[in-house]
Amino acid sequence: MSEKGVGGEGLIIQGVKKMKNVFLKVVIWGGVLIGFIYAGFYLWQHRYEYFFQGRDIPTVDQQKEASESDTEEGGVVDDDEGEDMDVDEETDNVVKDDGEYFVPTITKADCEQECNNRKSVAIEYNYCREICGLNEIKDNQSGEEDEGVEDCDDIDDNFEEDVCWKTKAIREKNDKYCDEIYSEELSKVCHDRVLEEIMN
Amino acid sequence: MIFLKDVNKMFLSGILLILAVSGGFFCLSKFALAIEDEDKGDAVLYEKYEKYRKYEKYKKYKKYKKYKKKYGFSSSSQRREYKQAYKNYKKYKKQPSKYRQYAGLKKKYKRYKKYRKYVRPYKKYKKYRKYRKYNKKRYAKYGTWENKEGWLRHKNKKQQTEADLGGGNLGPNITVGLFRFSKDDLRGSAFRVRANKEYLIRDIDGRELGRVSADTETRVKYSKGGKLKINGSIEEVIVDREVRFEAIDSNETEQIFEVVSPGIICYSDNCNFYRGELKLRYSPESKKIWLINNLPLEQYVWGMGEITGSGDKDYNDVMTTAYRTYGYWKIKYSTKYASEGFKVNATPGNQLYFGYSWEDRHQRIKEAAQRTRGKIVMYEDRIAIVPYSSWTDGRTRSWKERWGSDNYPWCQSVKDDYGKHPSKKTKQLEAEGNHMVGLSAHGALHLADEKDWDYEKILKYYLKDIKIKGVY
Repeated sequence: MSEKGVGGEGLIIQGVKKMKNVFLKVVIWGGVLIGFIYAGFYLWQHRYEYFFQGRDIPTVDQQKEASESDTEEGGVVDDDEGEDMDVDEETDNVVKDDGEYFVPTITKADCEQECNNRKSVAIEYNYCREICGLNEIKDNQSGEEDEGVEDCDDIDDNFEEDVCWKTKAIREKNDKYCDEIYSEELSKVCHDRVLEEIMN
Repeated sequence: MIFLKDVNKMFLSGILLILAVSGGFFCLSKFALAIEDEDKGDAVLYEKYEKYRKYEKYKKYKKYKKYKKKYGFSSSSQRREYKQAYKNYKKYKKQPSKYRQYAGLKKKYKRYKKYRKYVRPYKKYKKYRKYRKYNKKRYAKYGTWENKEGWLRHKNKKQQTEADLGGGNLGPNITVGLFRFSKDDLRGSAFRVRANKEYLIRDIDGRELGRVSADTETRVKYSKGGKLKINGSIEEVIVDREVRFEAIDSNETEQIFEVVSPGIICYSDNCNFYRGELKLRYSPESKKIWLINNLPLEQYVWGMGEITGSGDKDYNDVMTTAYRTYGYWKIKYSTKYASEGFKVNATPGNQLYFGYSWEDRHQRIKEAAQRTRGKIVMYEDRIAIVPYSSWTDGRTRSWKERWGSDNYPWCQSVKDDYGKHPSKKTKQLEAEGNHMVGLSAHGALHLADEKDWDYEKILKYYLKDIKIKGVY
């Protein structure tokens, strides 16, 4: 082997050594970085377990944002913290006073036919006409001032009560009464109708 | 030897490198999978949180039940009796000498007062009885932040836009109530109509009654029992409640009808020409006959009478966009005139609409409508109806401040120096119908003209967090 050859080999070894150092640094730091990313990601993925463990479970009423997105509840704060829990309680059979009645699905086609296709069932027909806005809202004939919400409250029939709230909301241009309506669809129609009255 | 040592180290380094790279790939793939899982997971979280919400609602119902049991009445007649006693005793309390006879009603008064205090405010929760199957203790645990966040994400994702009416280039059709006739109006003199092209006459069921050549006049009179008598262009025929005038070809956009009827009150010089279709419709509810124009939303905007089009280009864009938004909302949700058979009327109560003559003489309105074609104002996924006033007193009002409801959060109070009337006071402006909610027309005009704001910037100034969306 010539000196020249040995000298060349030495240069190669030195080069390899330098490369090896850089290489090792890259590998070590790269590994550390990846480790951090993975740990960060793992923590993020399991953030609820770590950050909320041992704390009280936050409820809707503790969450301001929730009330903003929950339009149905109309901002009423009414939690019953101390109430006993009735697990799987079957409620009584009083239906009359609990607002419910059969609510059929009313389509655009029903409205186009002026609900005549639902004439065979009176409640369906009347409900359909309310949804489609086909029943005229009569002016308050009595001329008396409406007293709070008592007038609608006194109505025994649940559907009639809903219609009463709707009429009241439209007459008074006040959509808070629409929230009293059991049928969600009718409540939405009521809100939109009050909007029309206001914008008129 | 040294060389071999180095080779060994290199080999080890290589293995480490391979491990690190594959580890990196593993992390990345896990990350991608986790994001995908989160999408699927949101649906699960949504379901859980929904259960929690219903559980909470049912709790409210239980509260109502509890109070009702304690302070409610056994029958509505008893409730009415106590209510009357309550009213009478109140009278006695105000004027004891005058209403002495009611002095003994104190007990009933107190009883009803408790009902008013404890039962009535909770009555609104009675509808939550339907959630009784969610009355399970385990659902209380679903009210976590994690579930709530997933619920919100999923809700936002699955929420569909309200602006889903479709429509071609000119948008969905809108029905506009143009004029209202009494029975007597059309008993004496006839409603007369003709068109620039051949047209069709149909009855309420769509049956063809005749084809009429251009410029030939058709006459309609009120008969009796809600019927209409048609003659002139066709052999006399009596139809039930409604008669329609349409183009021969349903794609015809250049059909113009001319209404040659006496007694029509116009808000402009000439409001007898209309695009689209016309119909006369008798309403059994109001006992009136309405002339209704059915046409695509864009053509409705071309005939808008709220502006003359002489202002700045961006002002015209603002106004046509607001006008279109109102029309779009009306098509989708209006029920006010449902019994009359249309969605919006052409008077200032809704939006002024003058039809083709106005459009023809105010081309800049049409140009603005074409620039903003199909664009409406949206707030999140809702059609953000835009109230507007001519003037303000230097500040617009929020919806809540003016009309009490907080369902319309895009209408917030903003400073309006440019829309401030130079001399009139607040009361005077209000008396003239300036509600000052939403858009200020003069403010918008000046911002466009003097500040050179574009129409989107103007709308976004007056309406909080809205976006402009093309819906067809």
